[in-house]
Amino acid sequence: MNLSNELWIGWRAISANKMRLILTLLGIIIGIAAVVLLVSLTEGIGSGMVDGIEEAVGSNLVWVYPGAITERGVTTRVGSAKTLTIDDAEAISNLPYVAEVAPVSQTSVQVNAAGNNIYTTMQGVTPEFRSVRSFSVTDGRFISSYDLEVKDKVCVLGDYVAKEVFGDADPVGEMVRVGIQTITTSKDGSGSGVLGLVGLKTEVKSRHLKVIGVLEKKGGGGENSPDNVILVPITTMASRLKPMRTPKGEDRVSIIWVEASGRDKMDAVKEEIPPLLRERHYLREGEDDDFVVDNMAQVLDTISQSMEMLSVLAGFIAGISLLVGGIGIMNIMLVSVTERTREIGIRKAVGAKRKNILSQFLIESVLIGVLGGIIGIIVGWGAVFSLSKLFSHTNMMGLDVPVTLSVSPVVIVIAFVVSVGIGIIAGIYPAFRAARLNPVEAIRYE
Amino acid sequence: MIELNGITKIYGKGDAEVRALDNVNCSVKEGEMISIMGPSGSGKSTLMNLLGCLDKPSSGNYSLDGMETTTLNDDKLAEIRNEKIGFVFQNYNLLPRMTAVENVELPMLYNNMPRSERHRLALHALERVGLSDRAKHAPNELSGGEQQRVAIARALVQNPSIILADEPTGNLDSKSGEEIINIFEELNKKEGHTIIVVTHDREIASHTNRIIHIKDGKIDHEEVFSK
Ligand SMILES: Nc1ncnc2c1ncn2[C@@H]1O[C@H](COP(=O)(O)OP(=O)(O)O)[C@@H](O)[C@H]1O
Ligand SMILES: [Mg+2]
Repeated sequence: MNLSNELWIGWRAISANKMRLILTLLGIIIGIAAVVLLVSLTEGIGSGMVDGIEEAVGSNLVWVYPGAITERGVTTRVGSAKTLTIDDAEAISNLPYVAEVAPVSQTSVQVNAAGNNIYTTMQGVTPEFRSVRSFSVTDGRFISSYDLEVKDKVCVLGDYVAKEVFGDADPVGEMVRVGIQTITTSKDGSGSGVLGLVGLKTEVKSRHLKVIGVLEKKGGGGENSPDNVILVPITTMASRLKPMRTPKGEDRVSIIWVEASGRDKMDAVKEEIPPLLRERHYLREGEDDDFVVDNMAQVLDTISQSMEMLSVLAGFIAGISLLVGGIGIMNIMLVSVTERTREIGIRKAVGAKRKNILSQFLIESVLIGVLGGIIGIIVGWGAVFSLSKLFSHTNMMGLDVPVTLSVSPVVIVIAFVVSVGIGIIAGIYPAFRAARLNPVEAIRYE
Repeated sequence: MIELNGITKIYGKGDAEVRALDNVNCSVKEGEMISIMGPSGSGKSTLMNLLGCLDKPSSGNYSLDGMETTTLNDDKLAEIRNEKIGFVFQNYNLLPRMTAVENVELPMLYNNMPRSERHRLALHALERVGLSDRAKHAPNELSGGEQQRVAIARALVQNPSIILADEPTGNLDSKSGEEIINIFEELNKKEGHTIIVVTHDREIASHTNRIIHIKDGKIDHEEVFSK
């Protein structure tokens, strides 16, 4: 007896009772569709998040920010060291495997124009900032080295700031007023609050800047997105807007973005920065770093860890529905064996061997599994496809995450193999029971 | 060709023990047509099942075509049933979801015969029992006599050496019964099949060469007709 023949006979047997077949299939269809959908969903969102973060931050990036300092036995929190300078950035840019470096000094400001005002972050940057952080300018131009040289009072607006302040109007060429809070020593004791007690007072300096460009929208929108920013030449920031100095009087920066010359060079870059900065900061052996070197690896690790947990959970849910589907097949096969006891007896009487009966019933249960699997894959695929039409992007942690949902061939193969496996596992016991029946007793069964 | 030696079949154990066959000795020669008669419960069906290799005796020897069958395993017995034996039951035992011709093809599913050959032989067997025009009918579209003829076609399709029929006319009216026994007679005379029929009907039995009378699991006596 050849296989196509056996398949045909199996199909006739399982399709004899349509309603029963459909109900049994339903269990497997739901299980397999759940597997396809959940795996594709977690995969799509996971890789989307990684892409989204790279897109928002820039690729191959390592960054350096101020660390903690320990003075007279007291350790301050990370970020409080005031020792990272523009010259450090310059030195880092000369290291091997470093493609570009973008030092940034940063402060909070209030931006005012066209009768609107918002609080945002002002960053003093160099022309390299644009390519290192992979920003593009939709309107106007970016900050040039000439702007830096003449310490021009110009600015580039993040998309969020441009929209909030100017709405749909074109901001390029307009003036904005930025309010910068500074702390100065008060000679007349006019300061208030805690600062006043120690002879300091806050003052809001107001400066006018000309908008020369607007950045392309990058994040998922909102206050926490990378679009809520106003960029100025780093030299303008240092001399005219918000001077930030090290204790030695050098120009201080808040962060240095370092782009490695390749993904595989990131670790090398990460390793060569600390010795350089330790030397530049005159740190003695045994003294802690006063800076932190970081990159995306940690962030991405965290994401992939949580994504892994999500897929384990998804797999668990899908596994349970598959288990239920498998029990459904087993149940229906046991019923079928009992109902067809007499048929089994007749087949044995005319010469069917154990293996013939075994394979007959096994084929039936595998057919149910495969049929449910194929329909389940199609249903799951359909669900993934419709979801991908509905959500091409999602907003996660202030980042615009592109969700590219698709069903990978691996998932299809796995789903198919699983459905065949369920058919076999669910069918093996009923099939053995059928094969073991005594022909005389089976024929007499009513 | 059939040699039974001290065949005993015991069902159950201990107090529930039933001695369905008790030390049966008999032989059947090739080309014989014999009938088995006896009261209900006397062990006729048990004997037929043993002869048909559907079951094994509790003790004794059964040699078929010179081969001792009692030591064979289930698969080997299945092979013998497929090759050498055709069974006809009182209640026809056709598969209800299959057409007449598919039912007749059934034994050939288990010996790797090509599909077209299977179909050809099945149609031929139906022709021999006069049912060519009913090939595509399901069993429930056929009369009892027709169903039993399909069952006979299934039994003879592979030209087995023995056809065993356990009360084949028991569910039929006398006219249909007559048709059935005529078919057996013709198969025996023209094609030389060995045929063993269990019956309660002397009229049916009178078509055979020899009647074996069974009582309480033992052969009581034999009648031999010289025709
Ligand atoms: N599977 C079985 N289990 C127990 N007893 C059985 C079984 N088959 C038959 N018997 C008993 O064996 C005896 C002979 O039965 P059977 O061969 O069917 O008789 P007959 O066909 O002559 O009417 C009867 O007493 C019957 O009850
Ligand atoms: Mg009987």
